[in-house]
Parts: sequence; C-alpha cells; structure tokens
Amino acid sequence: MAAETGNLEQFKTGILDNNPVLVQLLGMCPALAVTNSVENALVMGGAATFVVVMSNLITSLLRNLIKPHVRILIFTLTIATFVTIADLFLKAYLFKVSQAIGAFIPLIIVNCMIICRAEVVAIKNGVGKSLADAFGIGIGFTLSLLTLGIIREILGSGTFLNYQVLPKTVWDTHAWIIMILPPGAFLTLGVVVGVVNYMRERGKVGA
Amino acid sequence: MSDATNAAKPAALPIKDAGPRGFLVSSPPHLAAGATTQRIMFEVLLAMLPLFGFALYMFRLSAIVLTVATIAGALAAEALGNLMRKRDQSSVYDGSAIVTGAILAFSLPPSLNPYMAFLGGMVGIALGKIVFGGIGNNLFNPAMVGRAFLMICFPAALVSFTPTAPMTAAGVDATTMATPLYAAAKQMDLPSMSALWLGNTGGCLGETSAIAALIGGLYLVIRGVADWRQPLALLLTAGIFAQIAHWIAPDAHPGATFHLTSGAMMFGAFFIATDYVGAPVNPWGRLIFGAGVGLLVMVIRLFGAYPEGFMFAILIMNSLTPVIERVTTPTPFGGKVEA
Amino acid sequence: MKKFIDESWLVLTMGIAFAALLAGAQTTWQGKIRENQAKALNLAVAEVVPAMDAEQERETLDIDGNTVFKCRAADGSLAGWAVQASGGGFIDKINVVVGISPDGSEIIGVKVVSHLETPGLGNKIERVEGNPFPYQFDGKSTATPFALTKQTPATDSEIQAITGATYSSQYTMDIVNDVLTRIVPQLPKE
Repeated sequence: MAAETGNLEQFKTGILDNNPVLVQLLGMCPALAVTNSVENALVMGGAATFVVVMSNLITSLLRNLIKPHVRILIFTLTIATFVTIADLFLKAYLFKVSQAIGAFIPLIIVNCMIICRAEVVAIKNGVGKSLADAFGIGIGFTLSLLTLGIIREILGSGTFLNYQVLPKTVWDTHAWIIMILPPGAFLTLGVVVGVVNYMRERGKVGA
Repeated sequence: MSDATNAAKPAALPIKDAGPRGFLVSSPPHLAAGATTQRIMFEVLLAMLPLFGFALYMFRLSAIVLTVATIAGALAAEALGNLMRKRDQSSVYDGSAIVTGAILAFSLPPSLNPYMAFLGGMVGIALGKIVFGGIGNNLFNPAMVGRAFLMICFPAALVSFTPTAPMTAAGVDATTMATPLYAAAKQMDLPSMSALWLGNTGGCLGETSAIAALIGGLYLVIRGVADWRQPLALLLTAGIFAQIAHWIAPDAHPGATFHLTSGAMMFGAFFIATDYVGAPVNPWGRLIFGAGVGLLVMVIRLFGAYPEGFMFAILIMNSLTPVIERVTTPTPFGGKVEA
Repeated sequence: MKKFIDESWLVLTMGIAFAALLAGAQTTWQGKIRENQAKALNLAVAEVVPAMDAEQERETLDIDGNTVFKCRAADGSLAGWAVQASGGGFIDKINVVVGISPDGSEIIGVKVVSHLETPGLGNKIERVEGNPFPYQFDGKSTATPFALTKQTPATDSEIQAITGATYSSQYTMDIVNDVLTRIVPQLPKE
C-alpha cells in the first residue's frame, strides 16, 4: 500500500491492480460456489460490497478508539453484524436467490477480503479513503464474480439473467453442464485468472 | 519411453526460449537412440490401425468423423497454445496431439455429436497439457482429461449407444442397446465371448474389439514403444480381482475373461496406461501404476455408479505418479544419498 | 478493573449497539421472511394437491416423524394429504412432497422440492414440463410399492427410470415407496 494515494486511485486499485478475486485470489469460496448464474453472482457481489463498505466505514470511524490487540475482535463483530443484516434482508426481499445461495451469505463473515480491507486500509485512514477503497474492492469483487457468472451461465444454461441467449433447441441438449457444476467453477476461474495474468504481463512489457 | 520424450524436448525448444531450466543435465555416457517423439507417435498410430479398421467396419462414417474431429480439436489447441506462449509450432508436427486425439476418439461413443468430440480434443490438450507446460510436463493423460470433461459436460450423450448395421445384422436387439458392461452391471443377458473378442458389441469406437486392441498393443510392446509392465500388471490385477468377485458371487459378477475383453480394458491397458508422461519412469513404479489402474477399474466397475471406470482409474493413478516415483526411485550405486 | 474497562468498553458498547441493530432488523423483516417460506411451501403443496384451496385452514399433522398437511377444498371438504418426505439422493438429500387422495388410495402427484442431482440427468426428477418421470406417479394406487424398470412399464406399479440417471430415479422412487408403506396406512380416516 503506497503511502500517499488519492481516493480515486484507492478506488481504482480495488477494481484493477488489486482486484480481490482475480489478482489477490481472496474470497475464492463465493467466487467458486455461487457464480453458476449471473443473478447469484450479482446478489453475492452486492451483499459483499455492502458488508465491506459498512465494515470499512465503522472501522475507520472508530480507528482512534480501537486498541490494537482487540482490533480483530472488533472487525469480526462488525462484519458478522452486517452479514447477518444482509442475510435477513435477502431472505425478506430476494427469497428465491437467497434460497439458491443461502449457505454462502453467512460465509461472507469469513471472507478474508473484507477483514483484509479493515486491517490494511480502514484502520489507518480517514473515512473518505476507506469508503473509496471499500467501494473499489466491492465493485472489483462484484465484477469478477459477474465475469465468472456470465461465462458459466451462458455456456452452462444458454441464458443470461434467465433470458435465453443461445438457441434453446440446441442448448437443451448441448448445454455445457460442467460449467454450472463445481468443476466448471474451477476451470472458469483458472482460465480467467490465466487470461488476466497474460494481459497484465503483456501490459507490463508494453509500458 | 520418457527417455525418448526428454530426448526430443531440447530439439523442440529454441535455446533462447529454454528458460531457467532449459538444458537437461545428466551424467554421461549419452547415447543417441534414434527415438524421436515423431517416430514413437508414428508407431503408436500404426498400432491403432487394426482398431481403426474395426471401428470403420462397425460404425462406418461416424468413426472417421469423430476421429477427424478430435484430432482437429487437439491440433487446434496445440497450435493456439504455442501461439499464446510465443513458441514455434514444432509440437504440432510431432504427432503427440494426433495420438491424443485418436485415443480420445476411440474412447467416445460412435453416436456422439462431432462438435462435442472437437471440443473434447481441444479441452484435453488445452487443460490437460498446455497449461502444464506442453509435451512432457503434463500431470494427467490429456486424452482422459478431454474425456472427463465431456463426461461431466454432456453426460447424456456420453452414455447413449446406438446399434449399427453390422450389429443388427448379427442379431443384436436394435431397440435397446446396452454396452456389455452396462448389461453386466444391471444383470442383463451378456453378449457371447466371441462377440466380445471380435467386437460385435455396443461400446465406444475403440473398445468393442478386444482382439484388435491386443494386436495393436502387442505390436507396441514388441517394438519397444510401450513398456510391457503396465499392461501386464493391469490386466493381471483386474483379472484376479474379477475372478475373485466371480467366485464370491457367480450370479452377480461375470468372470475374468468377460471383464478383460469388455469395455476399454484391452485398449486402455496397451494404449492409455502406457502413456509416457503420466506414468512413472521406474520399472517397479510402472508395475505399481498398472496394478493400481487395474484395481481401480474393477472397483469402479463392480461397486461404482458408472459401469466403466477406466478414465477415472487412469486420472487417479496419474495423480499418484509422483508418490509412486518417490517410493520406487532406485538407490544409486554406492549407497543411499540423503536428499 | 480500570484496565479491564479501559480495554473492553468499546467492544462491549459495540456489542450492545449491534445487538440492538440486529434485533431491529430481525423484527422488521421476520414477518416477511415467514410469509416467503410459507408461500414456497404452499406452492409445492398446491401442485401435488391441486384441489386445495389456499384460503381454507390447513391442519398440520406429525405422522411417524413426517410432516403431513391436511388440505381442504373451497367447499370445506377434504381435498387430500400432502406428505413431506426426504431421503438420500445420488449426491445429497432429496426433499419431496407427495400428494395423496382423501381416502388414501391414490397418489395425486409427486413433487421434488429441493435436490442436488446431476444437472442434465438426475435433475429430470423435477416436476416441470418435459420431464415425464415424476408424472408417472400421478393417479397410481398406493396399495403396492413401485418397482423400477428400464423398459416401458408393463404394470401399473412399475416406474420407468430416467435414462442415464437410474440412481436418481431409484432414490426418488424409494422416498415415495417409503411414504406409501409407512405413512399412508397411518393417515387418519375422515
């Protein structure tokens, strides 16, 4: 983490250079488990963004009061509270999606991406920068989940957000079922991370 | 086998691309054996001819279409991989991708959509070989990786078999077509022994005729292209296991001859288990590898949900190869060396 | 003591504040969550006992550990029984609702509520258009347990397995058979 970075840079680094899933390889569990459709990926991304924003906000507000040796306890308490709120909210207003990805929402608590942001940024920086960072990371996380979700849903079900995009007659019999199964998650993630690294390497050589 | 692959590798790598571990270091004397990847792959393809001929007779056009599709897929992935890694295209011409494609084609059901076969060949090479660093570096047998992908991707297409003209002429029931292994798993009527040996049964392109696979396999062993250890250990273990199961429950399990001549057993023992890269290098390791595959095939056939288990058996043993290798590495002359 | 308070007051305060926050969220949304869950169950029950009227009061019984709903039609007469049952599938638990006719003699319908069977093969146990398997149970007698067959069923008590998903078919049928043999004889007579 460079010493002096502006809010905008802090926001951008979460999406590109420090993308939690595709570069830092954090938050793999939801990235693998719930990206079998675009809808699930979006909801998971939204929930995680909400939690990381709230956690960064509270942490940076209280940063001068938090004693170093109880900080992890406070991070966990904050994260757990907002994950529970997100979980209840989804159950109340997005019941169908919440049933599909139900078990993975509470697991946001142990998503190291979120505690990492509290520890690395929020506890040392002001509210503005912490929020910029949280939104950057959250959007970066959502975008990577979305990438996986789009690839997996289109190839695996022939749909995009439940709208048929590939010919139904063909895809009823020829869908790449593996893509909506766990092995497809690993394959897609591996290929996407590979492509991202390939492009980053090329970018470096060109610069 | 692996010696041959390694010998061919430096030639395929231009020196500037050789990288940090570019030059192979080994103690002299070195011997030029004349074995190149190309020659070995040519021998393997030659040994596959009887099987291909039989597939042609049984399944006609679909045998050609599927084989061409898988080979095209394999070559396309190989070329694409070389392009992305900025390597020269020599590995496209060394024949290894063609062999992978052919083995994959022979393990597919004849009624499969050619586009799926093409995809299988591509995925097999791309995910089974290129991502590990190309020829000689892959952990798993690329053809089996391709087949596993297809099996999970299109399960319905991979388990449906339709009878062909020669079969209906031979009096096989034309409406319901079960492979011999499927029939055994469900305790239905089994095809006759002669049908199993000759191949007048349902099944994948290359697995119907045990005798054609045996001819090609023996050719490979005699020519020294394939090691005799994997097939021998494999067939022996599987045979003993099948026979014991038969003795325990004669009604439920057919005996050793049935299991050895049905499914991918013969073809796999000689053509898949002898793959240089995924199998151990040491003689004892190869025996253990073969025996492990044989045991796993029978465990999956008798107790698993799938009627055939050759693909999974090979992939599981591939992943155990490093362990086998470590256990079986011979002590160098002069005593034990601390690693 | 002072040191203790000094170090922990923030955690304690935050704990209390967050607890209040959670309690608020819980009470605000609880009604809605309950409603959602009831609605999901209602849909499943309505599908296997179509004559049921959602306005009528539905009695919930516990028979031998299974939840059974006594469903009434619009005129108040008994429309049928919906038995919740579950059992092991090929991959994970299969949850099923079985609709039984008022006199317990016939199956009205079988609906798989949740499962994790293989997409493309095992998921053909779902009761949606294009999957013939679950509809085979409709209207069958509850007197004899079903048997699985690979061919076209010869008798009424035979169920044709899904091609390529024999195990998923078997497990689903086993759950239905369990309901027939264990629950149906215990249904109260009206």
